[in-house]
Amino acid sequence: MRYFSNFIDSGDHFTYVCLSYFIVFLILFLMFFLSYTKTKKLEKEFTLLSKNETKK
Amino acid sequence: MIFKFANPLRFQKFVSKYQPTLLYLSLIFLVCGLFFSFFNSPPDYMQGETVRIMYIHVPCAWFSLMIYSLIAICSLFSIVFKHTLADIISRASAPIGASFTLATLITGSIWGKPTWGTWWVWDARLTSELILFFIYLGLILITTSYEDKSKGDRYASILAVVGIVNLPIIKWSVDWWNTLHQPASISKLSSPSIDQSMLTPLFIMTISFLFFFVSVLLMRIKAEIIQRKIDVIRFNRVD
Repeated sequence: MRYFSNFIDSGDHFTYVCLSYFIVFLILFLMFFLSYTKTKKLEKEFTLLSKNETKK
Repeated sequence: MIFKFANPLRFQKFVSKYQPTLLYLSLIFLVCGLFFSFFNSPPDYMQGETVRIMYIHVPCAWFSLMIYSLIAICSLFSIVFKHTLADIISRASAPIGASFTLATLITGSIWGKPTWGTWWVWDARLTSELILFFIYLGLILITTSYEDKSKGDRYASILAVVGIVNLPIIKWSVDWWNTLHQPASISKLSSPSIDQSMLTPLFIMTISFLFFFVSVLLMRIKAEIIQRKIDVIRFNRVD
């Protein structure tokens, strides 16, 4: 806990560290989110197409 | 083992089963890693509190190199054996590798400001890492710009294999040239030059990123396989 409270009181360094963590997690979250939505969209499209194919 | 999962259908089943588990594991390790990074690790005697940036910067840098190695191996495999799954893995890995490289560059830049007094220097390590980012962008651009996927994959494979010369440059740039970037602290596992209290969060964050990478990679591979199936259905319809 002492390390953490010293870190919070570290002024400029606190901003630099928080900014770094925020940017990394944002990039990784976007990567995950875009991959997830792409997969779901394609899954839907594929199910629809295969249904149409079997009807024919 | 490899050839067992080289079957796209079997691979898809494997992904659906294990991908969410890997993501949960990644989150668990991330929470542990954050705890050790902020509550259980002291500031560095020279860098002060900014040393905490290292716990995400270093794993990102390792993965930027590791993912490129994976792409290069798959590309070589694709050129030699013309196996579709190798192309699919390369295609799926490139955006993840680019993300890790971008994260490395940004966190390195933020770390550089309080430590070196500047956001950016044309240092050998930084420049070679930037080149790696451009190679990743090139791979993404090539694979997406051709209507004929096999053509795009072939050209991307060639670029990936040629681009591997950049990896040793990144790795040993700090030893070959007089750079501002510090030399590797964990080159030999037997005697790392950083304290155990700093090594623990670093390794936990690395494991978290590893699970995240594999999880997203499996998801992207699955998307790529479905995309190819859709293309086949559409192609047959036009025929």
